[in-house]
Amino acid sequence: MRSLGLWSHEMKRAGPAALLAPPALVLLVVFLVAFGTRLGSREGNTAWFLMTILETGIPLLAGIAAASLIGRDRAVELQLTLPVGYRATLLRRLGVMVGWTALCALVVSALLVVTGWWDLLPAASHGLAGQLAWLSPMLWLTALGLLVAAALRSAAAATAIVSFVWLFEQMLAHLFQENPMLRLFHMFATTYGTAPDEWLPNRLTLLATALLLAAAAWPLLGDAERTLGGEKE
Amino acid sequence: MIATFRYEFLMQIRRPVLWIVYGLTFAVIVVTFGQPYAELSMGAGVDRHDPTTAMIVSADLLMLLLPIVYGCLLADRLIRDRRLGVVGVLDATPTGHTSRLIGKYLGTCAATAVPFALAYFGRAVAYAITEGEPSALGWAVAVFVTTTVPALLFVGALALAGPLLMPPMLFQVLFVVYWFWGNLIPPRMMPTLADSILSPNSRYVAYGLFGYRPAQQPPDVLVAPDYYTYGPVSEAALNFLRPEAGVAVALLWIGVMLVLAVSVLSLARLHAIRTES
Repeated sequence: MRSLGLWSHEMKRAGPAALLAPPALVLLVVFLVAFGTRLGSREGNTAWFLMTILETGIPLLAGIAAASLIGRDRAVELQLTLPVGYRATLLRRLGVMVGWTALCALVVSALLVVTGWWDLLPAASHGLAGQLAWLSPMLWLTALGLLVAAALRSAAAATAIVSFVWLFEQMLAHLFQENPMLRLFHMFATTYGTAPDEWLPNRLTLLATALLLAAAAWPLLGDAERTLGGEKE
Repeated sequence: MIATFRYEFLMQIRRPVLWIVYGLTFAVIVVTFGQPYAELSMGAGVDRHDPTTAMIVSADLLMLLLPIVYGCLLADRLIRDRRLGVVGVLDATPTGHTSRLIGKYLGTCAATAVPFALAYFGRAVAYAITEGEPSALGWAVAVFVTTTVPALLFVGALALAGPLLMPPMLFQVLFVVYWFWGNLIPPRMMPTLADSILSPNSRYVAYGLFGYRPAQQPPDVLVAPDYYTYGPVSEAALNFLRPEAGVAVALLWIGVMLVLAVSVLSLARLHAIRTES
């Protein structure tokens, strides 16, 4: 019961933006699926937009949410006296936000599979592995946001880095595609394409490196005094 | 206003994360654009020995991605007073709300633009020395004042006022998406503000005031093939927002940026008045 209370509290702490933005993305997808053709968008284009929303929009939401975790709590002294560690509080809040975003992403991909749009997406893998199209980049950008936020102790700095990386990988996608080493780390390999048979290795590399980033953030988040004393927004 | 400007400037410029984030992102840009950045030329045939062209290319390379860093680092400045609970104390000072807003806006924007300007003018000095072209410094100032400053004034106003109207996290997401959609994607891909008179990343001043011409003519221009200008893009929506570049249109773009900045700040002020009463 106590833990249920904690989770519901964190849901409220997450704020309306974190809770409303992912369903807004789902609505956008529903709108495009229903009216894309009538708006004059060609079928291939619409399919590409739908994948872009899933593969780039979902990670951006989760990444920014992770990056803005630090510096939101007041009454630092009170937090430090609690029996629950501050890391657990932060991760619970992150779990609520990212979990909700992931749930919405699942709805979107189910919608795309049911309506047949998924089959039109050239690079998208089918079956369960296809879900890595959004899961891998989401976890990678979330881990990056968490690490930068923990290291720099500033939400502004962390969101700036997450946004920069997100834009950079979209703007310079060709750079990632041309280089065999960088290709493995490209977050948006489904949308912008990758070499044949390299899609799954790319997704798995992203998952593995996301784990590394999160592992690096772990000890930093453990020092509650340091994290709580970060730059106030 | 002067006091607010001074303090806001100092508070922002002394933030270690400002320098860390700019340093990291600038390093990534230099590494990525290795050759174009070293030569200050984009595409074959551009006369890199022409200081005006080189300075325009230098500004272009920075304007691609650095404004996102600039905006994110500004986004928490206006709402900060409320979060720290110092609004009441500041209200008790003789400075009015409007002059405090202007002081804060100019102070934080100026401080956040300092690393940007250092990167830009640093490259200009390096160019002036390696090419033996001291006039590049003059061109650098001219290009910076007419192209970068109006754009940064508008982006700064947007980044400061945005988080007042919506939750900061939502604003960050929308801001990044706006920069991508409204400034960077090719206009033929979907209806976008990119390359229009309303986009802070437009190149109207480069084409209209400085006579910039790219080496290779892009295939999608509407104008006659004997000369190339900047403006409408064939098969793109919203072309009415993309007049053909010229001196008047370049000046109009500067005016539009300033008007947009003032309008966004006025909205922020109106919003504050409404929530105060």
